[in-house]
Amino acid sequence: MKKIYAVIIKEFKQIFRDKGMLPLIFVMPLIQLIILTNAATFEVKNISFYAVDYDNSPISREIISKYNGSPYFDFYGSSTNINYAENLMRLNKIKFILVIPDRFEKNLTIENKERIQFIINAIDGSTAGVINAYAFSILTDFKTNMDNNFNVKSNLYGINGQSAVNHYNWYNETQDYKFYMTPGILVILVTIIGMFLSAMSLAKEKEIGTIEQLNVSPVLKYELIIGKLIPVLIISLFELTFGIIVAKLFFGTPFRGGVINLYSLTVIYLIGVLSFGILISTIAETQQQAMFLSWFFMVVFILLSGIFTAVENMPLWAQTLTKFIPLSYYISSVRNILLKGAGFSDMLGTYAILCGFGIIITSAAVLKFKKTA
Amino acid sequence: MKKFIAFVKKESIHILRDYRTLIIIFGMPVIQIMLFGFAITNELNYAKIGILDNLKNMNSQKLVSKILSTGFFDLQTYFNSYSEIEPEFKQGKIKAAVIIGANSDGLVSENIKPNIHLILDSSEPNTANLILSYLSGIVGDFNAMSFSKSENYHNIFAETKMRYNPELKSSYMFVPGLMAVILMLVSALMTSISITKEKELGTMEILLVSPLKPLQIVLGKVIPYIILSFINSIIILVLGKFVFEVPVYGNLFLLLGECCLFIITALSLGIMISSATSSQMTAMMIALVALMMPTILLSGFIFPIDNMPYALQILTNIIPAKWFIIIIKNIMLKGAGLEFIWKETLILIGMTMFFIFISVIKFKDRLQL
Repeated sequence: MKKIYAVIIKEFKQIFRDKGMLPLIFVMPLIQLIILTNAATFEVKNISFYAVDYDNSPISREIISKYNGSPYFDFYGSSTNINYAENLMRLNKIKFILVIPDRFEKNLTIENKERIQFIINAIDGSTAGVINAYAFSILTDFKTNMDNNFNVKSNLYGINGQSAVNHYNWYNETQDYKFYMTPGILVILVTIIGMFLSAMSLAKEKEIGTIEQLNVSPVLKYELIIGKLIPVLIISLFELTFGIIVAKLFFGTPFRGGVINLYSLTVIYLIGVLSFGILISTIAETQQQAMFLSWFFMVVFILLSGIFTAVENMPLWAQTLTKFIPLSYYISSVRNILLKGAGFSDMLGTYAILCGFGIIITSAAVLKFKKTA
Repeated sequence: MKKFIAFVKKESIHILRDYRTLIIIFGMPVIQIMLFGFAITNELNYAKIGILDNLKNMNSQKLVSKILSTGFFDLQTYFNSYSEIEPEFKQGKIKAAVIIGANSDGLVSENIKPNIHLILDSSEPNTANLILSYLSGIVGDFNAMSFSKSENYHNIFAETKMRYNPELKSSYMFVPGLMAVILMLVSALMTSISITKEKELGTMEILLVSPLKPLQIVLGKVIPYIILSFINSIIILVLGKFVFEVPVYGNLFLLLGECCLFIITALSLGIMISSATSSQMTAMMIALVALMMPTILLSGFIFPIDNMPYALQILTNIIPAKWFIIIIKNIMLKGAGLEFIWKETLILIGMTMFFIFISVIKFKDRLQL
């Protein structure tokens, strides 16, 4: 016990001795959290659109004004010149062209169906998908609220015996993207600091040569590893706390779940992550390699874990890979705790899996680390 | 000259000897392209939903089968009561719940006609909106068909044309961005570490007492990385073209030329960082925090700049990667020539000169230790 305690004190001293480390550990997360949360959004708004109206009837004007009135779309202009519109799109002035064909009102009256065209700048595929969904929603809204004489009612309850459709946005009524991204960024911060610090610590000792001194000391393998893990664990937990306070203060991120639930989950998760860092440092010979290996795995983990893009959208092979990454379980649990108030009983399975990961990775790290190396 | 070549040779041997880092430098772009190309996407392919049918009559059954027949919705749970719904959301099992029928606890409706309630998990707003738009479209059409006489329902269809990228391939967005990130990573990060490592281990002083001039030392360190980065950019372009069919509509030489320019910009940044510190760990942290993170997050690589708050949009102007991404996207996807991108090219050149200037000033005193 005393030996572990001694190693812990040594580690803390070494970390804080480096004048550069302190601001990096405490200032960087703050800056990142503030800047990145504001930058990280897939929200699509202020879609500038142009209308090409060949019909110029009351109903076509009605449709255009409906789009104009939507908070998502910004009206750029309208005319009967499609080439002008396409050129505007080429120059990036607009993202969406609404085309209403000639004799639209007549055809709609006679044949009861007609089509209009959406032309969307699709270089950014996912934004284009969202624009399409918005445009489609507005159209649906328009046609179901229209009666036989093309009078549009704005009443929510539908007409002619139709059912009303009510929708409720749960957990994020204002549809603020920050609610979704902030937990993700918090999780990234905690994981990066944890993995890097633990990977670098052993690698630095190897590179400077102090590892030999450690090897001939009476400190046992597991005592050394535990002694190195605990300070990093404490620092990471501190980061998490710091981050949550900042998130709550600056962005109003909700915290609907239990604090104890969140922290116990984090501790179990971190044990796995930090051991992985130590595992990396047993493979690397220099700090540079340790950093690059950590960076490489971090990127793969972050991309596959569903922090920025949902796991459900991935092909099956990627979804299977995701199951082997502790980060994916952690991020979805953190989101469930913070945004939906999930409790301990909702995530028994996650706890079990993260415990399993922790045990396996830590054992691997302890086994691989040879004092004779 | 012979001394210089010998030095470049030494540096190259150093780099080649470190096979772990080398694997990562070349392997990382390949793996990232594979991930981005095949796994990462914001497109919704299917959504797990739950259904609570309070009516259980022929109409409601028809509606349920219409929803499920689109292939987009995966029925995760068939609820028997309202109270079963919330736990499923909390455990993340469903993204939306469809409730058919008169009100149940908590959902008020004064209308006696059958109502449909859609509950959406809005944690991820775009997913929720996409699901909402599909579901309300299906329900809206179904309603109109079943309840009003068909002569009275005027159905308007929308036909969507996606310009420049008809298959909505995300590779059009990420391949240019990935080039910027990888080039920045290899050039800036590796250069700064390489120079700082010599300082930290003490071998810099040995270099300084050799017949090599300080300028030759810096150049000699930088040249192997120029070659590495260039090879990397070619790998990414080739993979992009043949695996993901990202086109190169513009002039190939202009493209490669702009890549070289960006490589030099990144390298000068790396040199600037290494002139600020003698510790490898600090150099790495600065490079990661001040360089990589902003490059990935603020350059328009993943998150479109247009969607960011105005203050941040101004901030993105100081990030070299942002201009480079604009340049290559225009060359590759729209076939632009120099006349369209001269402004951005000039900005990159200006930034490079600035970084070199600062490095030269700082290096003169540092190296003279």
